[in-house]
Amino acid sequence: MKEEKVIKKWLKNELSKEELEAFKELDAYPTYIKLSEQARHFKAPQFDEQSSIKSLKSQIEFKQQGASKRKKMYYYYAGIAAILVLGFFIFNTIESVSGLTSFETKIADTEHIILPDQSEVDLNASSTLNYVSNQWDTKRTLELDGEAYFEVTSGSKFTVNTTYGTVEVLGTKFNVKSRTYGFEVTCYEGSVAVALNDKEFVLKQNDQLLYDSSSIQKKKIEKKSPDWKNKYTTLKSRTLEQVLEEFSYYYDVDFDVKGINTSRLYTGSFPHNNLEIALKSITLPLELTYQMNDKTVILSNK
Amino acid sequence: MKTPKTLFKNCCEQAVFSNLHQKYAKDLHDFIYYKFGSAYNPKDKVQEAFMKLWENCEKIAPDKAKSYLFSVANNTTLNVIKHNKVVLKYETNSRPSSSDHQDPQFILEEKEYLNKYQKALSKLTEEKRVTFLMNRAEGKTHKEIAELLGISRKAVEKRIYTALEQLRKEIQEI
Repeated sequence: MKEEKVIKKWLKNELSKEELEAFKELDAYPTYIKLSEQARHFKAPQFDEQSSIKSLKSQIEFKQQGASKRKKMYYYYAGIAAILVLGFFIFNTIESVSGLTSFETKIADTEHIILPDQSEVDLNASSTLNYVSNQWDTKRTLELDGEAYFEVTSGSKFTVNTTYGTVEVLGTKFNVKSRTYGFEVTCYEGSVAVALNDKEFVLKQNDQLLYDSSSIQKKKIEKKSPDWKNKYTTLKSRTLEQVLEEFSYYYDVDFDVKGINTSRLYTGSFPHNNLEIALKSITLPLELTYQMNDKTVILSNK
Repeated sequence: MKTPKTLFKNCCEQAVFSNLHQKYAKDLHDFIYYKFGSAYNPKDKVQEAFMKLWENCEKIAPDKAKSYLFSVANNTTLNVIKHNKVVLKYETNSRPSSSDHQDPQFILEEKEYLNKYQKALSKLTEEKRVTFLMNRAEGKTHKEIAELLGISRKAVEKRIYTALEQLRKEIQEI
């Protein structure tokens, strides 16, 4: 047992002087020494790391070339797959385009639309409304250019997209006006969320959001439904240019505004069903005169 | 040098791979050599193991690479052997000693002795032979061997000792 300990220590090169003497006393001492010394003859042959890594690297490169060839094939297959997917997609789109329902109103024209979920839309004059009817069950999304009044039955999210921003509701009554000169959302019942310029505005009952290129305003209204439904338009502090734009949605006339200042502000209302009264409603407060020439209205200062 | 554990998640980086090769290729080669002898071309096994490591580099963390390399090299060699009991043949790579003035009889005796030694070595278990030769022929410390083979230092000590005793008895008997 003691012998074993000494030998183990010797194998670890940890013998002290006395222990070394004791080790040398052992009968088998020369045998151990010889065994240990002769072991070197069985040393593994030289291993050339350099040539090993070199040949490894060339193998790796070779394989990578093969892989890149395979990759080219992948691209080829990916190309085919992409074409198939694209084809499928186009087919699908065509299908959904075929499900695209579109409404367009002409000047002075309005339209009452009942959506698949029994929500109602009143589309004002000179406006377009699009939606994908076969996706309506999953996605209640509309695109509006112009003005429309919505009475939405409660259900999933109902979204109105306009060039200015989006209006989201769950079920409520609201009006969206998206015209060239500005954007207006009015909430008559419930609440709606308006996403505009990366901001979100929440409108409660009787709230109105007014947006034009210069400002965003929120104000209270008292009316129960939009004026246009009662066939007139009320404008507040709008430039004459904007007023005439609004006018053109209801009357098929052109204006000749040479010689007058179109940036003057107008506040007032005009009816949609009587051209003469409508023209007077605008010109009288601004102290202008008008002259009809076929379909052109010439405006001039008094 | 420590294996960059946090720096690299896998062995796909060329630098990591080269570093692993530098660290382990020789030990791996020696391990296979001592375990299976020269007949199974340890150099090829090293190459195979490193190629496998490269192919699977994404799945292997650098600190796991060593054990991966050793088990791959071990297994690929075993696959070739296919469980046949083999007679190990070591190449004695240097002449007994600078031979000029040696007594011919002494040379003969030395040769005899090495033959016996070789036979005795081949009778050792693989574990014992690898450990013993890594220590005595390669000059690796107990600690280094323990790390390389993933065993305790105590186990290394025991293996070397029993190998020595077994060799001594074998050679005496022959």
